[in-house]
Amino acid sequence: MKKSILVMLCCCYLTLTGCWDRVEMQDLAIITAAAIDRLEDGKTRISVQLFIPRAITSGETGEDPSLGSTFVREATGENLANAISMLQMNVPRKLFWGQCKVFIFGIELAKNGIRKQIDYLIRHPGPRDNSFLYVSEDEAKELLTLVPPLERYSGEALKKLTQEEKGMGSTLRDVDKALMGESESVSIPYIQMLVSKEPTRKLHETIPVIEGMAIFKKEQMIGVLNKKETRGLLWLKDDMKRSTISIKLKDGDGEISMTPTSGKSKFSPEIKEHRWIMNLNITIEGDIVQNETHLDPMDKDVLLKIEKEYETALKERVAQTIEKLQQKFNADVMNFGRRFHQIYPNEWSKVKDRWDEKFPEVEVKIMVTAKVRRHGYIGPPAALPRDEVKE
Amino acid sequence: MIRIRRRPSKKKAKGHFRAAQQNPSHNTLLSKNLEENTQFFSSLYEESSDVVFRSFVVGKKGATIIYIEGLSDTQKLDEQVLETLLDKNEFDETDFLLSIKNRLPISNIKKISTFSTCIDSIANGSPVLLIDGFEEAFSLGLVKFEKRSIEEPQAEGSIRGPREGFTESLGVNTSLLRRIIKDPALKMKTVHVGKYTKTKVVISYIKGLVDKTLIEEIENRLNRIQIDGVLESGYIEQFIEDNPYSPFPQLLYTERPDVVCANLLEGRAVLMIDGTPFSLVAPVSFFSLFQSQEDYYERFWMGTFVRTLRFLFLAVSLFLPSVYVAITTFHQEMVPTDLLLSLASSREGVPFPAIVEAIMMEIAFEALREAGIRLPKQVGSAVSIVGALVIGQAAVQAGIVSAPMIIIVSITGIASFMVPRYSIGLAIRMLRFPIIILAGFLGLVGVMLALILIIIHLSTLRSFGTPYLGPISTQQKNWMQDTFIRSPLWKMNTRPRLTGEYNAVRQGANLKPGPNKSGE
Repeated sequence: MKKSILVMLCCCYLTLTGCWDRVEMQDLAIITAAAIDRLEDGKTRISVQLFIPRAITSGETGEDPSLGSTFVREATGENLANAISMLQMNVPRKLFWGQCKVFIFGIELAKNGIRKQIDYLIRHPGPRDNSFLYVSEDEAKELLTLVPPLERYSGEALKKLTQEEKGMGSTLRDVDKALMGESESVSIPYIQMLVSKEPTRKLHETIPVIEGMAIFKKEQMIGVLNKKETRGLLWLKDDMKRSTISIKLKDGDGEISMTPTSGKSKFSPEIKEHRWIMNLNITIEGDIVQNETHLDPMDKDVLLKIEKEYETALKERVAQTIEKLQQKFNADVMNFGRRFHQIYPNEWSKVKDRWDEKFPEVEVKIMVTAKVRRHGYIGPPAALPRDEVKE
Repeated sequence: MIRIRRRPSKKKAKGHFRAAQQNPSHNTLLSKNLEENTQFFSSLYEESSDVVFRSFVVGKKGATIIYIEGLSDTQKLDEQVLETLLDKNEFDETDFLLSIKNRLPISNIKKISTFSTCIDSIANGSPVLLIDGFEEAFSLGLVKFEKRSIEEPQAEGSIRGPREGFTESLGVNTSLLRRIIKDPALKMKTVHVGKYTKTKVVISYIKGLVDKTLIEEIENRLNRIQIDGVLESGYIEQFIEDNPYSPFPQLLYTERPDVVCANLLEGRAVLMIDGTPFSLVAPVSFFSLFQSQEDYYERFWMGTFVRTLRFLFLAVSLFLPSVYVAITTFHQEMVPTDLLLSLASSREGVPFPAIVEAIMMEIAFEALREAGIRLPKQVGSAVSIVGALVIGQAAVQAGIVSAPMIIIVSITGIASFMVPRYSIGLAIRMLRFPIIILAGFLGLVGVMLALILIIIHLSTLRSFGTPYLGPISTQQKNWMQDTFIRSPLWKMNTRPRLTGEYNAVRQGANLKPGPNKSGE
């Protein structure tokens, strides 16, 4: 008798305590991407891309594919929290942030400062720490309405573009930590709509693409690195795997392009007689993918020449980016400050408060070692009579 | 209310049992008077048309043969017994019984002197020969009854391995064992269980391998049983278990002589019960329930692979539906985005919450399975077709059930058949439901809670004194050799410790075969 009462009590506990945060999937509005804009009157507007779960019925494709599988809903408020609570009133299902991996900030907001918004996104348990942040060239909301021809929704397209190259993306956690840390600056991908030139496609059937890097200093956006400079920045972030580098040899009549297969950047800070020096060692290995010249890359001397040329080309590229970051933006996106802090804690504590002044003065010494590992399927240039190949 | 109704009936049952036991006439000796004896038996077997009393005169003395039709070989009785006894040849008057015994061409002939042994003998099919003027009778071993021939075991099929299975008759079963294990160390002890069925239960073991106290313990537990009858090994199993409330089986049943012998050789005892092809193995561990005979017959790689698969699918069949319920109702952020979107698409429009859907479908599946067993074979296939069509397709198209749920339920169903022992499969099937409910209320926390509870329960279980979580919980040497993996036969040099430690070494050392070892 006592036992059965105990069992019944246990069953009651289940119904009393459990389930409070239980949500059926049919009651969720799954957010796939979100855009935050600052309106002219200073209010915040949140727009979310919501997934429309349609039952997959086999063989029926009556719907217009250009409509996409998502729709956009927006709300305005005094601040982000306010706007989101207003947004919830416009959506019949519970907003679900758990799968939203893309947050786009409008350029107005970015220039005005993103700290308040970041605080909400980090503090709220819903949004993921590892979701990617972007800055849009124009109104962020517009990018959500795009219908990608390949992916299910534009957020997914953006996410996949970023995941291709890890150094490119900045997650919520990264941004939070970077703005909190020594350098107080961070880079966030700068995106814009890719203009589709296909006549049969509608104007909105395209995707947002990464055009460069927005540089943030102390929560405010201060400028943009273009595509080429962004590549340089990726070398500085030790994550450059995909883009090809082309060089022109002095005696050559065309360019030789190489795709890096592995590359590594090593930073070693040094303080010598009050000169702050950052030694940067970059090693790169790659395959030749195109040879426009008449040179034979199988030749040892030619190969050495090519490698040398790559070293200078890469050096120039990285130097260019550093120069811009140091002199024009004065934003320590590569986190030099942290590296100095780790090795020279005493010196660091002296310059900590005036790092802004010190950072442009840091000398950067770049050393590049390039190695061509493979020259592709063929040795000498293709479609060229052997007697025209230069040794 | 319930109490008032229950109590008197309980008392009655007890009282009834006692009264029947105290019947005095059973243990009394036979009388010298044939008339009295037949009188007793005919009153005992009144209203039993199948009991035959044949009276005749042998050497001027009256005699009666009593047997039950269909249990004894009447042809031999006629040709060998009656013909000899009715022969006009004189019997030696000085030692009449001995001369009769010597004249009868029967190998198994016993002298008996009490009524109860007479009754047993008649019931077992040995005709009883009563002779006037003697206090002793003969039990003639002419047992012959219809029995099923030895067939391939139905519930435990295998690709490689002997195809013989036990039958319902105990004599055949013990002979199957003797045919495999020829050493006289194989012992068979008999205990009778059941007031009315008087079922023979044979405890077989190999002397020298088995722990003597285990046999004593089994005998004690068997002697405790006071029931009307034993119809299947399950009756015995449920009366001798260590923890009767546990959902997990604490004895292993099998209808394969090779499995029984393998267990005997590892120092376990086997109970064989008359009237059922299933014999019980004791003690067992959780892991021995996941061993199948073919693990040992095929190469050890295969055995190891299949065994790993079994444990994987054990987890699947226990937890897959509940994990699905937990994730779709509590932890949507855990699923990869694309998968979640697909799930959301297919769940759209389904009217039930995930937990209701899961329980509904699992129950439907269990019902289909049960119906498939019970129905006549001709109808069985129809049921499975209807079940597959109705539940698999129509329900999804009608939007009542989501497609992923169907996938989950069918994977779970297949997974539960991966377990080689049906009895533990039953336990898993049953445990699934409380876990689904826990998952529906508490999410993954509930699933973990269930897992912890199950592990705690398993580690408290014992089977005839040995820990249920077998060689793992006891941390013995070589615990891996026959649990999650199946070591090569030439490497398993010792018997499992808890059952075989009285004679630990199983085989010679250094048995690993190789091209250079043939001449050694």
